[in-house]
Order: sequence, then structure tokens, then C-alpha cells
Amino acid sequence: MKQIKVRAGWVGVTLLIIGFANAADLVEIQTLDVYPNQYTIEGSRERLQIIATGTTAAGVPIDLTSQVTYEIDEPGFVSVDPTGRVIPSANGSGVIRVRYGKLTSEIQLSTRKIEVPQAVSFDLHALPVLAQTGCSGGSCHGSPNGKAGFRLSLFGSDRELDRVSLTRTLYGRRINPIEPEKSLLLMKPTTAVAHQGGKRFDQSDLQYKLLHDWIEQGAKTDGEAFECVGIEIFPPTGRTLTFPHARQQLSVVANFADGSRRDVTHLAKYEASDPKIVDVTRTGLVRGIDRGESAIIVRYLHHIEAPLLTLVRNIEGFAWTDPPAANYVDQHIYEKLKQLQYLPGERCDEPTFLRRVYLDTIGSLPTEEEIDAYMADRSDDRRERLVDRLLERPEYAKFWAQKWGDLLRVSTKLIGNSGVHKFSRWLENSVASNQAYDQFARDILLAKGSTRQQPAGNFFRSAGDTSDAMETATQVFLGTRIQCAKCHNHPFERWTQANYYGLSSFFDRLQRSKTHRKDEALLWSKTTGEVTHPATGKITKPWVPVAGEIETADPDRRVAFTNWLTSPDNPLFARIEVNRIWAQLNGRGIVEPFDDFRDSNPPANGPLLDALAKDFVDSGYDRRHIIRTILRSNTYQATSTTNDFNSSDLKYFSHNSPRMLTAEQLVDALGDVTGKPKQFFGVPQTTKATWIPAPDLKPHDRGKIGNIEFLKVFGQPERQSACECERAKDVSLGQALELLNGKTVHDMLTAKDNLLHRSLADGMEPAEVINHLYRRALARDATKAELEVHLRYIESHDEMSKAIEDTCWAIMNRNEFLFQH
Amino acid sequence: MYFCFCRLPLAFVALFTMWGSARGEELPADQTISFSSQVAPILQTRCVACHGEKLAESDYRMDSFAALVANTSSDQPAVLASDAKNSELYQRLIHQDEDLRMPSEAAALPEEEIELIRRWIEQGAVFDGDSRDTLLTNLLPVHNHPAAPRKYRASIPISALAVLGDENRIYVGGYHEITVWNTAGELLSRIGNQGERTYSIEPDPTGKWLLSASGTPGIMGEVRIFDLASGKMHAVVTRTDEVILDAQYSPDGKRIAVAFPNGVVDIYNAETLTKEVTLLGHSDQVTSVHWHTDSNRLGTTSRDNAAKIYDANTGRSISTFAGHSACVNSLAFLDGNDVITVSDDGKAIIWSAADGRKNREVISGSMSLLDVARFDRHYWITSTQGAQQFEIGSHRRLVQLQSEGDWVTTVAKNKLPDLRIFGLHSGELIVRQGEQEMPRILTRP
Repeated sequence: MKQIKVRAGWVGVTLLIIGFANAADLVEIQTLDVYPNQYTIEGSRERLQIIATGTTAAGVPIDLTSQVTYEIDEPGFVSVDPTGRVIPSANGSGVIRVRYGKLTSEIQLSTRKIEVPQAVSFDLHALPVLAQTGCSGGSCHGSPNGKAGFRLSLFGSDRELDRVSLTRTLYGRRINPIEPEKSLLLMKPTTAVAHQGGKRFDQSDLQYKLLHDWIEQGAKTDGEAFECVGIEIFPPTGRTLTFPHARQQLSVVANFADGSRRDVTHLAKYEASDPKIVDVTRTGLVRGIDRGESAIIVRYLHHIEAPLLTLVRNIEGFAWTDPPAANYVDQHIYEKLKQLQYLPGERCDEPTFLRRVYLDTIGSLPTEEEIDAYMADRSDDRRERLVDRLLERPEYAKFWAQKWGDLLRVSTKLIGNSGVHKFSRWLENSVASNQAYDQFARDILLAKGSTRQQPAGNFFRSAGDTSDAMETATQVFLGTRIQCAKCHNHPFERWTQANYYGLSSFFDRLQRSKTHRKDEALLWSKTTGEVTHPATGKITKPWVPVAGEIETADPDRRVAFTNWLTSPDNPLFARIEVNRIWAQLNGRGIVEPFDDFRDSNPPANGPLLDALAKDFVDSGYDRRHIIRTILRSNTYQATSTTNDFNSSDLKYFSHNSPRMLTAEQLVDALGDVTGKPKQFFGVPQTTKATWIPAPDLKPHDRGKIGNIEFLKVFGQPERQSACECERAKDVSLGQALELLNGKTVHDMLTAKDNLLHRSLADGMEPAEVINHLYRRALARDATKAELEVHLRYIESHDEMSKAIEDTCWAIMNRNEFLFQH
Repeated sequence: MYFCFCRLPLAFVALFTMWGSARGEELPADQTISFSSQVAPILQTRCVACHGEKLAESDYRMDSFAALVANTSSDQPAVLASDAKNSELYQRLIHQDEDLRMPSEAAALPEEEIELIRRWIEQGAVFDGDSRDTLLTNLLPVHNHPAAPRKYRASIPISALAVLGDENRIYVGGYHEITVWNTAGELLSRIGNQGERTYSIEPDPTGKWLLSASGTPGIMGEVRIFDLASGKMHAVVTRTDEVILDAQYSPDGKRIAVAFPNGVVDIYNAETLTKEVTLLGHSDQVTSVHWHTDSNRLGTTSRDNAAKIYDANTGRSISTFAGHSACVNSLAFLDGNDVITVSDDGKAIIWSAADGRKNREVISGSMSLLDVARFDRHYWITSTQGAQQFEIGSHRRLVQLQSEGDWVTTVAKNKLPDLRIFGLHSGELIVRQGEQEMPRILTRP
């Protein structure tokens, strides 16, 4: 028997060189496995991607697809290229022997229907090619208005639209049935004719061949008799790749309703969720760039899978120091850091912790008395006890209620002045009493009757119609930005338009009746009413993620939704809330953005998210317990100063990431430092910015008097959307100007009755005034060097009070003040 | 990447065969490079799509000589005569950094083309046309289009249709040609030398000339006049960089209106072929032009969702109808001031030519309406599902034809009272003699 060898020689050699260069990298493969073990290629256009995986003595899998040799015992029926792609050439069956050194493994392969020309399918070939090459992407022809007069549906989600665009519009201008190669559909993407979208493929590419042959065969758009029901990716989610072998060929197999399977590796679209970690070629080869984790978003037709890959690199000089874990938070964080070879930061010092935890729990800086009291406490568990004390304080409830106000869009514009006050008091009580989170959600989502008596019902006034209520509830409680699916299938997720309307049906029967009172609505549910899909005109059944279509016994379908939502079995509900709490305390979600949960946006630490969610459910949805658990962890308490082995980490919580104070925190801090707190309209005089119930309070409707420009400049949200992204986090020139010479800062500094001037008037020494300033602003004493600089400045000026103002101004413009760190 | 001549992009070969052969050989060192016939074709094919009227990337246009040599965003002219090395035009073609090299996101131009441009600049970047503002498309020498295939391997959608003469000759837009058929479905003759697709066929009132609008999608558009008797080309009225969908003689035969892809409508003197009036107002491709029988007013439809009535003598816009929500495909003058337009939005709407006010909707459905034509006391509307005949005045529907999913792209606007011919996307013709439908004709040589 003659053997045909296909060899990718140079790759093997490269491996060997690396091996000799660094003994630690020498790979000794113990076993060799191939995927799949048997397969039938049916049709001349079909391909098969083989995946060859070696396993080292340590049990680490390494992709050898491009390094093995492929031997075919039955010559002539298929060929295998060096990347492991099988191309059929005749009907037959036989064995492909895969060889790596002395190791071999076999694939039983047969081929069928190769002798008859296989028609190119509009649905299975042409549309996937247009999606894969980016033509029908959201920024190109797949945008709602198309591009340059040519519109396609987003990633081929609407075949009828695509059929008309491609074959019919303008007398079929994009297709040349007489000379297929002159079709605009081929000349544009190959840039034979100038194409704004650049070159998408070459004439030698498979993509070109498929589109060309489809046109040559008459650009037929008859539907396929069978339907794709899902795709399978190999290797499955969770594979770890280790540099220098951080390469992985993927295989994608589509399953059809008739039970058939076909390899679509060459037709699927690939995208890395984190392009800084990996890139992925059009043929499904993943190449590592840096250590970390990334999902690979694989799309074929409307099916999406997002397997997660972890990339590990040996860092020279790295040694795990085995720091002690305070609780399970640290255990999970450290496990990931150890794997990725990042070294966690030390615990931060006391002043830093004090300032940090005050800002995170009650939103403001510690007073000098509080600093002294804490520092005087010499017990080992003083941090824990401080946390416990802070979480009992009324300011904690006010500050965290304000965060909820942002999400639930508590504003006078939407629910009126009395609505704002009632709703935010309700939120504050919920936080203060540590109401169980599932009950909190139920109170909001199931509110009935007068919104004056049931203030939580104001949610349905902010979210004033079916779409709004559904979208807001989904975003807040399911962490899903489903809005896209209103008009088309979601571009990055498996959400379909049908899902959108299925979810809407839970909220469609809810009625909001006006009463004779201002700012009041009566909430009640109709007993009938269905939502129809705008494209099909058919009734959509109530549908929820994970569980699918569900029964709704109560005619008020919100009951069924809320029961499902708050059921302990619902994996999403608890995860979203613990992630939100995590993000508020650590500046960044485990899933980030923290209200954008989807397979294609994987968590930075899945096990931690799972553990927090489980703890949350087990504790009876105790929010304060979760906050306390996180605050007690060494991870939370880590210093923001980086070490040699964690400075490049921005994602896995190896150190604290400094973040600017929020607009409200900053105003309060400025007020505390100067002793001239900012006054706000429509609230009692002592109200802090971090307690204001709405950004647009208007006393007696006197125009926009309640709008404090300073807060807006620093990103206070208008509460027009339930997206956390509404709080602007960008640094702007306006902010710099406000801090340098804005009215707010200026008025506080120059007020004759502020703390600075009063202290001087009382005869306090400048050095002492400055130290008090440091304590109020930075929760620490001024260093000797700092004091010297300030005193030198003050001495060189005639007017002491002005010089002190300048000094205070300088401190308030320091990053150490502006940032939480 | 190195290209030999055989791998030049097909479009280029097809369209500019005249220069192609010259480029295949080594250029004699002393040969003078012509901007109009050698450089302009390269710029037109390679650059203008992104540096033209519609897009003008980096605010730089290359669609006329004047624009090409004007200052770029770097405040320097892109072409410095006799100094290719410092000319941005040349620099950008050979730049080592792929992000800076043009064309953007595409392979570099073939070396032969770059060399031509370099030599042209070195020789002084001389302009050899009439006016520096003339669009490049109109600078290119007129050339012969490729011959039509003797037999078609597939049929093509009917994009133009006319019925002429007493013997009922049917003129159909073919592939690089106009094919002529009789009602029995026999191919009588073929008029070649056309752009890839023909979008309108119109005889002049004397019956001597045939006016055609044609083009190759994404590449060029043209209006040509043919001698009807001999089928020989007589003149090129105008050219542009995208297909021209319509060109019509005024009923008095004195003028020609041309619907341009950039939203402009130009009116030419039919005798001298000089431009007389430019009609502005549409913001996207003009899909059709329609003369009123008085030869003074012109109706236009456009992909900008609007239809307009112009005074063809002054170029003044008389009225605009903005009541459609998608591309307007065709228009017909009815009685008095009544005008009807049909659109992809599924609506056929009657409105007033005097003030653009809507009168009534004749059809409101989900299928695109593709064409409308008036015949004496009734009018036909074609659509993606068939064709319908309505009575003028009552707007009562008289006849409905179903086309089983085949789009009825057009209806011939001939004067014979009993003969109605419809063109289909499948390349077939539906021929109606009186009330009777005759066997369909497949217009595929």
C-alpha cells in the first residue's frame, strides 16, 4: 500500500528549537488524540478540520494539529493540508493516520456524493460567507441603513431581505449571471473595483469560490429543507493554553434537524472577546498574544457559542508567595492569579483602608474624630469591626439607595417630585433594613395599586410602557442589554427578536391608570392580551432565558416572571447582583461592563462569581453579607501600589485600581475638607450630595434651579437610562477647569467662615492648619517634606489667609485626594 | 505583490482594453504619458470611489484634474510637477506602511500603473484635456464595449424595454447589447457596443435615433445615441462613474433629460448634445425622468424617497413630493395636475404637480412597486408580484396580472392601443394583445 504523507515540516523544527533553547519548554508528549475519531464527508464542497491534541506528562493538552503528519492509507480519495483540513476528491473510505514522533492516532473517514457537483446553498454557504467576511457586520452593509446603498441583514438574520438585496434590487446589479466573475458581489470585496470596505477576500479564497459558484449556478435562493439546530466547538470551553504553545485550532460542527452533521470550521465567524489576549484567524486558528482569558465567539448562521480559553505564560522570576486568604474571595482570586502568574498586592496601610472603606460604604471621607478613634483601636479585628459599624450607619443606606436610584431612573422628570421622595425613601429603607434582595425585586416588579401607597411601583412610571419596563427589568435584574433584539437578532448574543417579544409579554398586560392626584398612578393588570412578533405577526409565548417558554397561571404574567426570576435555580439573578456589588466596591465588575452579561463577555473569574452567587442565595439574598464578605477580603484591602509581577494586570484584581471619586463623593469631600458643605435645593440643608434622591429636584418648579453644574461635569447621570454607563467616567477638560478655578471650589475656599479662615482667626499655627487639612482630605498626617514645602510657600507670601487657601487648593488638586485608592 | 498583466483586475481589462495592451509592454522611456487616456482611467477605477463626490475621504477628491492637483488636508498639492518623489499622490501608492498606502485596506496597485503615474508626474504632470474641471469619466476616450456573447449562459433581468415601429419590434436591454425581438419571440437583430446593462431605451420622435442609458454597476454609466436603421453608434451624450438609470427625449424631440446617479438631472440639446440646464434638488440616485407632453415640465424620481416636478426650461423646481418612505421608482403624468408615483414602500400615490400635495393612495401594500405608465385612459402599475391596470379618473382597478414571485420590472411605454408588454426579472416578457395574453418570450439569445 502506498502512503501519502503531508508534512508541515518547519513547524516541527521550530518547536524543537524552542525546546532546546529553554529546557523548561521541552515538550514530551505522552499521548496523541485526534478529533473526530470518525467522520463522513458528504458532498464535494464539504471539508473536515482535524484537531490533533498531544498531552504532556503533566497532563497539559497541546494542540499539535499543524505539527503532526497525516498519512492516508487509501490514496486518492482525500487529501489533508498541513493545517489538518481534509479535502475530499473521490468517494471512498479509509484511515487517516496521524503521527507525531512515535505516537499515532487514527481517524476512520468515508466520503460520499463527491462525484456529483454539490450546489452552493444560499442559506448554508452564501450567507455565512457574507457574515464571516464582515460584509453583513453591524458597521458595514449589516447596519440598519446598509452602506453605500447596499443593505444586508445583520449577519444574515433576515434571509428574505438578503435575497432581495443580493439578487433582485436594481435589476440584480450585484450579480452578473452571464460572467459571474464580473459580479459586483465579487469585484468589490476583492477590490477589483474600489471598495470602501477594503479587501475582504482573494480570488484564491474559498469564500470567493463559494460566492462565485453560487452565482454561476444561478444565484438560487430556494430554502434549505433542513434546519441547523446548533453548533459544537472543539475543544470545548475551558481549555488552557501555555506559551510558547499558545495556539489552538478550533473545529466547528453544525448539527441539523435531520440528524446530519457537517463541519463548518471554514464557514464560521470567529471573534475574540478580548483581542489583547488572543487573535483568531478566519480559519479558526487561535493564537495567544498575552496571558489572561478570552472567549472565542463563534457564529454560524444564527447560532453562537463562546468557548473560554485561558492563556498562561511562565514569567521569569515569578514565584508564588502563597499569601493567606481571608475568605473564599481571596481563595478564588489567588487561584486565578497563581495560574496567570500575577502576584497579589500587600494589604494597604491603615489610612488608605480607612479612606477607601468610608468612601465605598457611606460615600464620604472619615472625619478627624473618626480617624483618631480608629487609630486608637489596637485590636486585630479593627478592620472587620469598622466595616460592621459602617454598614449600620444611616449614610450607608442613603448612599447605596442613591446607586439604586440611578439604575431605576428615579427623577422628577419621570415620576414627579413626590414620586422621587417616596421612591427613594423606600429604597433607603430597603437598604437600611437589609431587605432580602429577592423580596426587593418582588416588591418592585409586582407592585400593584396606588404608587403613593406602593412607592416601589414608581418603577413602572419611570419605565412607562411595555418595552421600557421589560428592557429595564432585564437590564437591572438579568444584566442583559436586550434592546438590540427589538429590531433584529442580537449581534453578539443568542438573543433573538422572538425572545424580546416573549419577554415583553410578561409586562404587556400591566396598566398604569391616572388618578386625580399628581404624581400617582394606579397599577393593575388586564387578564388578557398578547404580544405579537412584528415580523411574523404571530403571538409570542412568554419566554425567559435558560428556561425558555414558561407557563403563566396567574393572568398577571409579572407573577410568573418574578417567580422565575427570584427562584434560587435561576443562575442569573444572584450573579448579576453580586457582580454589581463587586463592581461598586472594586471599581470594575467580575463581568465588565457589569450590566452586560453574555457568553461573549466572560467573567474575569468565573468560580468567584459562582461562589459569591451561591453565598448570596444561601444567605437568603443578604446584600449586606456580600458587601461585608468582599470588604473583609485581602483582595479588597490590597494596596494600589503595584509590584513587579502585577503591574500589567488590569482585570484579575491582583491590586486595587485607583478610581476617581464620583461627582457626589467629590462635592461632599470638598465640603468636608473646607468645612463649607455644598447646599442643594429641594432637600434639607444638611443633605449631602451622596444622599440626593434625584438629580433634577426642582423646588416649586422654578426652572432648573436644582441642577448643580459641578455634579454634571463630574458625571452625575441624568437617570435617563437604566444603564450604568450613563454615569460618565471619562476625564474631561471641564473637570480640570472646575477644579482649577470653578465657582464651587472657589466659593468654598474663599468663604470667610470656612474651616481654614476660622482656624487662622482662632490663632492656629499654619503647620497645624495644614496637618488638619491633610487629615480631612487624605486621612493621614502630612509628611515632614510636605509640610516644609507648604510652609515655605506660606512664608514667601504676605497674606497668610490667601496662602493657606492656595495650599488647600493644591491639596484638593492632588490625585491622592481626587482618587479613591 | 507583483502583478503581471494577465492578473490585472478583470474590471480593468474589460473596461479599458484600449490602454491595457499598451501597458502590457515595456513603456518606451521617451513616450509622453497622456493624463486623459492613461492616468485618468487608473484614478477613475482605483481611487474615485473613495475620493469622489459622494465620499471624498480626507476631504480629498480625485474625480477631476482640478481636484486632483488641489491642496490636500496637509495643505500641499498632492501632485508636484516633475517631482514624483515628493508628490503625495505617488508617495501614497508606494508607502511602506500599509496603513498609509493607498488604496486603503487593499493590495497595492500593479507596478505598471504606479510607474505610469510616476512617469506622468516626472514629465510635468501635464493636463491634456479641455477643461480642468471635467470629471475624469468624461475625459476618458470613448471606447468600444466588449462584444455580447453569442449565446447567453443565463438570462438577465429585463431592465429596459421599448416597442417601436408598426411591425411591433421589441427592444430589450441585453448584456452589452440591445436585443430586438418580434412578438412571436424571434430574435430579429442585436445592437451591440453597450454598457453591461441597459436601463432605458428610447427612440426619438422622428424614429431615426435610439437613445440608451446603460452602464456597468459600480464602474461606469453612459448615455449613447444609435442610428436605429444601422444599429451603429452615433454619439455619446455623457458618461459618469455609476450606471445611468434613465435618459429620455422630450416629446418635441429637441432635448434629452438624463438621470444621474449622484442626484443631478441634466438636460441636453438633442442636436448639439451640449448641456442646457442642470436640475438640482435630489440627494441620491435619480431613478427615472418623465417629460410632460408639453415638453416644458419634467418629473423625476429618486432613491432619496422624493419625486419632483421641474420647469425644464429654467431648471426651477416646481414641486416636491416627499410622501414616500422608500426609493421612488417611477412616475407618470395623469390628467390635469395629477401625477402618480410608485415606490419600494409599496405605495402608489397621486399628488399634485402644482404644489406636491397628496391626493390619494391608489395602492398601499407590502410589495415594492416598480414601474408605472400611462396609456390613454388608463395606467399600469408593475410590482414584485405582478401588474395592475387602473382607470384614470375613477382609479378603479380593471385588471390584475399575477407573476408568481417573478418581479415585473417594467412595462413598455409604447403608443399602440392594444399591445402591452411587460418585462420580468426572469428575463421573460409578458405580451398582452387586447385582453389576451400571448405565450411568454424569453429574451435570451
